[in-house]
Amino acid sequence: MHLCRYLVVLRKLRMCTSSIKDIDKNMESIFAIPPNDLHQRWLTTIYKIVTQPLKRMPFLFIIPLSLGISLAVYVLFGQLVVKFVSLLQYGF
Amino acid sequence: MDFERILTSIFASFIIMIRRIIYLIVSPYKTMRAISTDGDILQAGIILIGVVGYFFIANKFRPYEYHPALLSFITILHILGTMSFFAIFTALSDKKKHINICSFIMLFSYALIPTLVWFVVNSWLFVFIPPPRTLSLLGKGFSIIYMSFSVALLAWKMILVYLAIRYATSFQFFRIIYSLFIYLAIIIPYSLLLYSFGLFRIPFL
Repeated sequence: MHLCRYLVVLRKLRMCTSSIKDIDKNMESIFAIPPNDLHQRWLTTIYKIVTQPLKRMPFLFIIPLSLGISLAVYVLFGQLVVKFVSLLQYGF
Repeated sequence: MDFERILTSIFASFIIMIRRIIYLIVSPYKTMRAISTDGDILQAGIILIGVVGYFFIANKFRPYEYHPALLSFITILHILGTMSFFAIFTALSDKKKHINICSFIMLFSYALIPTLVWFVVNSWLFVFIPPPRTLSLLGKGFSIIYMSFSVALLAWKMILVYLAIRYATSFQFFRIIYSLFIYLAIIIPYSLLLYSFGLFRIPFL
């Protein structure tokens, strides 16, 4: 009975230490490079606000943004966009 | 036995590469950080083989003025040049004695993925929906969709290049920006030179 309990505790400890090692490893990789500092607090804040959504699922922002940019370019330049696309299609 | 082991290793690297490409779409920041600590050069090799393969396949769709082997060779030189540029820039600006070349190779190879995707899609579109585009409703609609696809891939490319420089060099934001400006100041005239020789219309960078 005691041996069984001892083994369970040992297993838990081992699991705990391995997860601590994993956390340590992750923390090391995160802090291997110092966080970006733009020398002005407000600039750093803006940088963080802008980059935060791009860290995970950036295409949720990129796709609507690129569609908006394309529509805006089409509204501004009209038929030139069609010619530009033809030119790009020959570009490979 | 050894051949089997090499084959298994290549297959494993290929699977990891595919997985990472998917993760680069979902979570580029975390994935690029993981790539920067990886030392499996085979993945970079597979990406470069993909680039070479693209040139040979695209040559079937529309023959190039030069042999695709030459274009592939020049492209690989570009890529190596880009890696060397940032490695030398790091060595000069940080006075670092030890630079991890492996992380440069891995990160800049993965940063090529959006370019490769754009060129592959462009070449297939050339076959299925050949240019020039007309001013009809369908032509305009396709142009807008094509433009937004190109802008989206450009944005993805910019994110990956920024992260590649960030993790390979450990530079801060402003230093990344001005190193990129210096890089572009070299690359733009060089691209024009290649264009004037008829080698590339759009440089594979």
